[in-house]
Amino acid sequence: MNDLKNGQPFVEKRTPLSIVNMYILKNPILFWIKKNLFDTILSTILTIFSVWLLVKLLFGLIIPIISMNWTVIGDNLKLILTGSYPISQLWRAWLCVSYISLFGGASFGLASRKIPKAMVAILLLEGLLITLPFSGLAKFFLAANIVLSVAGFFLIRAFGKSKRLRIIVVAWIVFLPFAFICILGFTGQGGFWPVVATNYWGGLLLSLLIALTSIALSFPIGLLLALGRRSGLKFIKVVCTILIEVVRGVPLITILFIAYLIVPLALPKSMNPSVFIRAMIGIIMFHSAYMAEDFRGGLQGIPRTQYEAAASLNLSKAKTMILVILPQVFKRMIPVLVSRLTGIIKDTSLISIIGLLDMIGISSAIISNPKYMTSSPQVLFFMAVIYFVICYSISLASTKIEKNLGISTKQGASL
Amino acid sequence: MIEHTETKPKLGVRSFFQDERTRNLVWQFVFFIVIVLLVFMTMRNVIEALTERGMAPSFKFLSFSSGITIGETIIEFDSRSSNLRALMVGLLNTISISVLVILFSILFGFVVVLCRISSNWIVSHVAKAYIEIIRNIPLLMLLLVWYRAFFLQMPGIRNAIMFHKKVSESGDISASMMLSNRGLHLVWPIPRDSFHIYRFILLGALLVAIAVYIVSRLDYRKTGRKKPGLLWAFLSFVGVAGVGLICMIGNEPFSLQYPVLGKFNARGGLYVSSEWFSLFSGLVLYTSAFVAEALRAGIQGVSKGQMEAARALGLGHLRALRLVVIPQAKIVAIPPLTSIFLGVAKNTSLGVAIGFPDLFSITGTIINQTGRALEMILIVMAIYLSISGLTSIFMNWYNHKVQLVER
Repeated sequence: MNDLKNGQPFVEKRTPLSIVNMYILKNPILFWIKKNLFDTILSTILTIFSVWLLVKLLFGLIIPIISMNWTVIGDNLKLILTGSYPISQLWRAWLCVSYISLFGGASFGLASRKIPKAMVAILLLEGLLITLPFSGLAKFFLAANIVLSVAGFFLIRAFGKSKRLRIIVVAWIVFLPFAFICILGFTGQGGFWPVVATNYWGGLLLSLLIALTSIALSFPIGLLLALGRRSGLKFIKVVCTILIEVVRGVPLITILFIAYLIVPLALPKSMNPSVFIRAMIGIIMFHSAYMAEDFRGGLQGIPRTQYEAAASLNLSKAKTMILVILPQVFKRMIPVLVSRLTGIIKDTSLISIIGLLDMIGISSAIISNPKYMTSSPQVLFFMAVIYFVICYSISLASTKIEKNLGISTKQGASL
Repeated sequence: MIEHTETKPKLGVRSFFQDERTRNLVWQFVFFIVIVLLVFMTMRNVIEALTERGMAPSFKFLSFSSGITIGETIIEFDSRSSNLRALMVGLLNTISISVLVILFSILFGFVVVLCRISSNWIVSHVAKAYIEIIRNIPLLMLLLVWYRAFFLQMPGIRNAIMFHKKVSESGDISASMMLSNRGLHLVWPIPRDSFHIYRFILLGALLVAIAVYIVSRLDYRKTGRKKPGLLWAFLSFVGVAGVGLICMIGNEPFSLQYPVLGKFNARGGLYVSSEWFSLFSGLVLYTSAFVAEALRAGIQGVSKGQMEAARALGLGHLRALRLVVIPQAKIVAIPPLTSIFLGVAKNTSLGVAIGFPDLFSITGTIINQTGRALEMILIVMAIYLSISGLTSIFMNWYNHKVQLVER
């Protein structure tokens, strides 16, 4: 460009700052740092402040926590994970984990051709755990799980394309009954697979079993309640609405107290449910109501034309629901259900208040041992990390599923 | 060949059941009978079981002396007071802590969401990490960690963490804030004799504030230009009250009472127990993560074009947020915020795990003392339902007020 007045070519003034700026613009890493950390004065101040805060957090909190004495976890790991489940029968819990490994690998195999990063991470973690000083049983099953999940990943391809999905779905539906029979047992004391009563179940095992069973059972109950609430029959509608709203209006802990104190009174005397069953009744009651509201949201999202189209095909009301409406609702509900699962897992922590020995119940048992009296922070931190890892991986998976199904509704702009 | 079937109304049992209305009626009747039978049988079993134990349902026990001691009470209470009064204490504790938690988590959640949507990478990722960690740990776990691993690990009262530590001539140690495993002691203004004069100044300040607000509303009606009337009213209140305070120097209406360290405890000032403080701060941390997510969903629900259009009109980033994006985001965010706030009152019931005497924990104690499980659970359910009902009525009203009027 020429400067017309003087007839001289335009020369950009090269101040030191502009040279630095040009250098920054050319280097993508520096450019990213400039743009995302030091864009404006405010941004620079915020960056400096948050780095200071993070350093403070690292030295004031995280390093002291890591340098605590963690032997309490090693000594009580079995207790934290399975409660007082007999040690001689622990292989049954491992069997359930193996089942998950096999079909988890198969599910990954169904979803992608290459082994995905998440699966590699899980396999690496299992490999890492083998090197830790665990019992021979644990090492054997960890190694077996690695083999099983890789095998599952490749074996699923041996089946025809149409069969693959069906196998996976059936396998996951069968998992819960399998796990229950496996953990509970079915022969007498001397037998090959002796019964272990529910009051021996504990720790993480108990929480997960209650959570999975509750979601499986509150799914159909919630669906029925939602259909009842949308029904044209006034009386059914009123009853369902009252049930849903009453349960949603009170804290879970009151529902658990009802299940714990009132349900045994309300049932005939011959039935005396164990605390485990009572807790499960409470959690199912509570989450069915919430699930019903999820379903109601899903049902409301179905346009009326779908009902009209079904009616014009002369489908009965029941058939319209089963063949046309519900399949669409279920598809929309998948992400909601997954987040409901994390909710249920988090809520099962309350069963410790009615005296069940889930992780939190176990934590007070460990702390009450004079040997570990001063170790309560370590125990609690460890359990919080376990909860976080489980819930966070489920929510990551749910985001992934949401993307894959293309039902994400998040379209807004980031500001 | 198409056969035309006549659709004449037929009489008889078959056609009677083919009529949809009759069928519906029959179904409802069957359902009604089943429900009534179920309720009846349950009631009979419960009453039978209770009578057998000599506990026939009655609410007389409410007026009996409770015999329990409660650490934190807003109204007067001792172990001779009735069970009903114990319940009132619990209810007041629940309500007061819920209101405070809601207020503080709106404020804190707003800060978190501003960090979360900031263009600064570190700030937004720190906020994201905070939200994800809090949302993926059960509240009960969080409270226990907060209470047992932080508050109970604080130094004892003799070595409390102190701010503005002062040692008087007689050797008494006082500070404006003392944090120990006993809880938090804070410096607090105590009204003096001259406070009864200052009361009138406060009343006057309130009247001025109301007048300012009314004038700004009238001005808005007349000119249509919106001014922050509430802010002005607040400022004028603070101004008048402050001027009053300055005028009364030498005869201050308040004196600051500092907590003074005693042998086993600290006296004076405002005392907040570690239970109260860990429940309160734990709930604020927990709720504000959810509030931040709800607000973010609201802000992201506003289409990008709105922000760009506002910027194109020459509004700065913050003004565009304040004037264009947030008013629209509010509409989207209110329904999820309603359910979060409804959750707060219910979540305080977890105070039972760390020994805070909220409504539910006192209910538990009374059940243990009297054995009246059925009655107490009915009462506590009724109370929670009315709290939820009132909150949702208020939030529905507010939601209705801010929703766009579609033209």
